[in-house]
Amino acid sequence: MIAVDGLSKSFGDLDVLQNISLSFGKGETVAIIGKSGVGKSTLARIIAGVDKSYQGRVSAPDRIGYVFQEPTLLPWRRVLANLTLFHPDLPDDTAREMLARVDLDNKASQWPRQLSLGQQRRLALARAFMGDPELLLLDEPYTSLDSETHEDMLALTETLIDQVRPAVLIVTHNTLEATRLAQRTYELRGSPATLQTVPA
Amino acid sequence: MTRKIAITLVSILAFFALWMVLAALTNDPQVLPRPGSLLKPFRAELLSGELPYHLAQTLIRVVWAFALAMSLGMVLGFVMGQSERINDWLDPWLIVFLNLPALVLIVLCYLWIGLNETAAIAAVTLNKVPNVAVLIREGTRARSPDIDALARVYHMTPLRRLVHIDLPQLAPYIAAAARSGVAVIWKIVLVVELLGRSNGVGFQIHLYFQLFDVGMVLIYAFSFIAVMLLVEWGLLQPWERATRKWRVA
Repeated sequence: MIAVDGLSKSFGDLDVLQNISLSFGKGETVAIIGKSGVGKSTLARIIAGVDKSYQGRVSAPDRIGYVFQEPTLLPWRRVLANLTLFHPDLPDDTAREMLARVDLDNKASQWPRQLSLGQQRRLALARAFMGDPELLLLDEPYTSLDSETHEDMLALTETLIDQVRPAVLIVTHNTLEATRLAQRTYELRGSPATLQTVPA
Repeated sequence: MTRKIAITLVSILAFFALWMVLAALTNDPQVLPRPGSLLKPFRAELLSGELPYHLAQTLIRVVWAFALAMSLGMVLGFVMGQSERINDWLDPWLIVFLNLPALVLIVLCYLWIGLNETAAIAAVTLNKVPNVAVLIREGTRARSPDIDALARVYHMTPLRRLVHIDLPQLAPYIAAAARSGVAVIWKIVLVVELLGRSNGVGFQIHLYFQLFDVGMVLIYAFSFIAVMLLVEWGLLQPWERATRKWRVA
């Protein structure tokens, strides 16, 4: 169970998030929409445990998968190592299997910079789903993709979510992505931003 | 590659041609001997064992000072790059040491520690540590915050994070510090030897300076330059190529 209770966040004198409360569990997908710079990514980073300076309470599992706005791969490690390095307890075969699920099994020994942007994003998705995460955070994971690759990525994400069934929080400014993937959608609005339910 | 080697060879030949022209113009072997006239004393110095002995002494000092300066500078720079608070405390020290003339540090080390090997290596190390620290501090600050976040999300241990996340990002900065370090350190080692050691290339250059033997000064200087070029081409450049293999794939 992921629970956020009375969360507020400031950067110096600038109040960004105010009294955010949210909870969701395994198998549920929740979307947070809002304009650029409203604090969506900040909320995701707090839930992931990356940013620890905030007021309020946040409870999240340890096993988290995170897809950043950029693919955020390690360019100095080959494709396969970009999975195994973050899951040292899992055998290489699990990583190869994961690469096959995102159609990158023939790219295992290549460098990330040899992949297209779409392939890099698929690799980032594979890294996030590997090890069956209890919570999956998707922070604008489809930006800068052409419409065909965007559709492929959305379909792949849906398939992987169905297979792994984690709790999912997707942060996006794209309402269509939110309604397609999530059962519940919230909007971050205002300054400081508050969370408001978006009717289905 | 072949073109690069050809240009290097032509450039070296041009240097020797210029040397020969200048030697012909001065027409005084005591001021500037011709390159060819140095072969005989070079061979004699080599066969007597004097040249290899003094080269080895200098090389040992360079290796010690380089290893210490790189290790200390990297730790210091990394810590300062990680923590603004520690940086605030240590930055004034760094500025002082960066601006302290090498000669002052060498003299002070000899005065405080004595005319021995420890003082010689300490003096060279202290001269180079601030430069390494500054470069590594900037590299530490320039690391990707997203990759740092990734390491935190996946609960990487500090050692794994250092090896797989931090050091690869710092590699270009380490390479720059190492290459400039080698170039600067051997020059300072020669000054240290000139001032307070009884062996090494710097000591020999001092000796032949007193004898006004320009030829022997050049033989020792060029011999050590040759050794350092071997280090550059045989160790530093291959290592640097290996660390940026992924960039050129």
